Amino acid sequence: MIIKGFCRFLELILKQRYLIVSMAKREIAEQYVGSFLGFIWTFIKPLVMISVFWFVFSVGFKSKPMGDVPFVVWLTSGMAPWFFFSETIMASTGAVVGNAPLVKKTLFPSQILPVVKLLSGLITHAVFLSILFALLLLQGISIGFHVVQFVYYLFCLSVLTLGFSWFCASLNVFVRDVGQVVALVLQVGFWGTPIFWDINMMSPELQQWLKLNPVYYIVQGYRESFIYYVPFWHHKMYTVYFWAFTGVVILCGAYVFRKLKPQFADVL
Amino acid sequence: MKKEKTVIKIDNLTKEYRLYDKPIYRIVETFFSSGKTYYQSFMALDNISLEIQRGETIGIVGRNGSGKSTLLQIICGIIKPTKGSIVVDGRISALLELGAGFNPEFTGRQNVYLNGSILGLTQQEIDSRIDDILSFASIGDFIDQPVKSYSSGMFVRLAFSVAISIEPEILIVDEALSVGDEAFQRKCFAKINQIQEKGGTILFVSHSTTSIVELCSRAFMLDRGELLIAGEPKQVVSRYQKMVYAPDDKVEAMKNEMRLLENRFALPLEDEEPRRERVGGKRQERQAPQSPSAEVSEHYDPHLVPVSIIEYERKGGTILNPRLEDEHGNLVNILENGKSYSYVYEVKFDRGIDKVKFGMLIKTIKGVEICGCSADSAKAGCGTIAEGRVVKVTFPFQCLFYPDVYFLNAGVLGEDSDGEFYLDRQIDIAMFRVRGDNLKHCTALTTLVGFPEVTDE
Repeated sequence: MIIKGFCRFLELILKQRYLIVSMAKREIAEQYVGSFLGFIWTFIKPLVMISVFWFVFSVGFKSKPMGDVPFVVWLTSGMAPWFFFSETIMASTGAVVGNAPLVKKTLFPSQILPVVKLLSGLITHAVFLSILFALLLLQGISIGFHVVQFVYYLFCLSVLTLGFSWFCASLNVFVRDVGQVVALVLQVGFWGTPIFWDINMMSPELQQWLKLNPVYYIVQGYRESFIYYVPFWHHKMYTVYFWAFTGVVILCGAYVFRKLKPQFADVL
Repeated sequence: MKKEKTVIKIDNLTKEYRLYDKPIYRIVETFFSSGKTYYQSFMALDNISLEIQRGETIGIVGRNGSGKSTLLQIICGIIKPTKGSIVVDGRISALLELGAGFNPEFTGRQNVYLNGSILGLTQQEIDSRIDDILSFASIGDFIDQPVKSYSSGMFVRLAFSVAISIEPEILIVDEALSVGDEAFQRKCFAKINQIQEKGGTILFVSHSTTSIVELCSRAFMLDRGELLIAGEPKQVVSRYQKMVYAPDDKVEAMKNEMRLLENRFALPLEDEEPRRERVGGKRQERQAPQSPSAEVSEHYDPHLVPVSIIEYERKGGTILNPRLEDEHGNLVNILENGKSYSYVYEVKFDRGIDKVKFGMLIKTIKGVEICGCSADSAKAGCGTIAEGRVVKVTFPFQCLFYPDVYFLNAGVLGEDSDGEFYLDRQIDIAMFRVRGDNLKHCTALTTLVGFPEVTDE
């Protein structure tokens, strides 16, 4: 039942691909319309953020290099997926409410909104990754064919993000507290996920618990793609766990969205 | 004529809005149904059934909050009915809110592309239509300026042009045309006529009863979620107007009367006894011009009284019994175009005064002043006014107004050493409706122009 509904849901989205692309384009343009530097801002923001983190941790706290990679490279490769994840979810949570006139007054497939946010988030993510590549080159770290593996992890990340996004976007229409809760959870999640601290600092038992966080699967995967070159099939069980978790998230997210969608226009 | 085909079919449609005390209950109820209900319900639409054939132009009238917009939203598929079924066959373009989704920061052109894709057009399809869209909107070089710099008229024109460009089979318009200047409105009506000719179906909600009569082949009247009557636009509109101006305590009685009407969902043009051979439910074709008694058989409708009389502070005079009379002195408020009538009121003076002026004014619903009069008492031959005197003032006029509803003002000016002042002044003190057939050639407020004679030279 749920699976069948889900397939129809995906089909509808596929049909709207032109609209999704043009809305995503607008989404990106919207951020910079009227600003003098325009698209350059997309680069400035992550650059400043990475510089600050580098300054605080490498210069201030004198964090040691992680193995033979400089801390900043290690940090950036973990931060990139997290920011994509959190920014997309934050943006999606407000997406339906933010497009109320469209949802209320036109025949509009609102399920595409989180997809649009995901797509436009990919642009920022690409910028983030290009900075990462620049860092890798600057540090003289060789970039091998293994790097391609990040595409797999990006796919994982997108599916997980989309599931959460549908869930939050639809609930937020009815209970606006969801936006606040999501912001809070993401804040906690940022520090709770081993992004700028090494999971090996923790006891093996605690590591098991920390690994339940599906985002860590991706953070670890990004690092293994860019730095350590460990293929994903080395973590068979973890991969199975991740997909089971993500499968439930995306099915539930789509189900909740589909169930609540008919009432959007009633309450917006 | 093409074979009639049902494009919209609605059966026992009900829309209930659930008002929850706390929004969380709504979510709880969506996923976990328990016996307990957490909401109060509000019926926006109550058991509506109707059918619309291809090529019809439907007007929907109703007071505020009667469910018109909800009905249109349901037909568009934006909101789901609570009960009942709806089947729609054809590509819909809805103008429920012009420019929904326009981003004020982007240029007009960018917005056209985005709005077009929301309406389901591809990039190439928009490319091929952009010239038409721009020429219809006629906003010139502004198309490459951000929409925020547009005047509201330009905004509406652009949004309408985009919406109309998808060549809809069913066009739904929710009072969107009341904005925009006269010329653009004419253009929109022309476009609507063009869609009609192509066999498109049009649904529109308007408070402008004249455009409903002018454009529609059939009209619906909704009130508090109930489909009260349907049929010939003229009939529906005149009953609607009657109800709008009726006092609150009379409305229920009028509604009951309408509920009891035979053929109430297929009202014919005449208000005579329904003929036996007429088949219920079938659409009535437009008939030839009717006898003058077509609408309401009497010339006085007790419900046709203004609801918003504005009285100014009285300074020594009172205007009494404002009324309209026909040539025989009968009380009327439904006027025949072309005949002569009198506007009559009495004035009771509570103070003596040397000079007074008697005034009147006839206005349209929108407040356009059509004709007025301010007459010196000396010239009217009534001399100085003593305290306690009562005079009757009669203003004769010829009814050359376009069929519509009109309002009357009355005022009495006095003059003393401090200058002129109103002894009594009342706005919208009386109203009348004008009817007249064969006036289709007249296009503005008055019917001063006769039908043209065309001869070979």
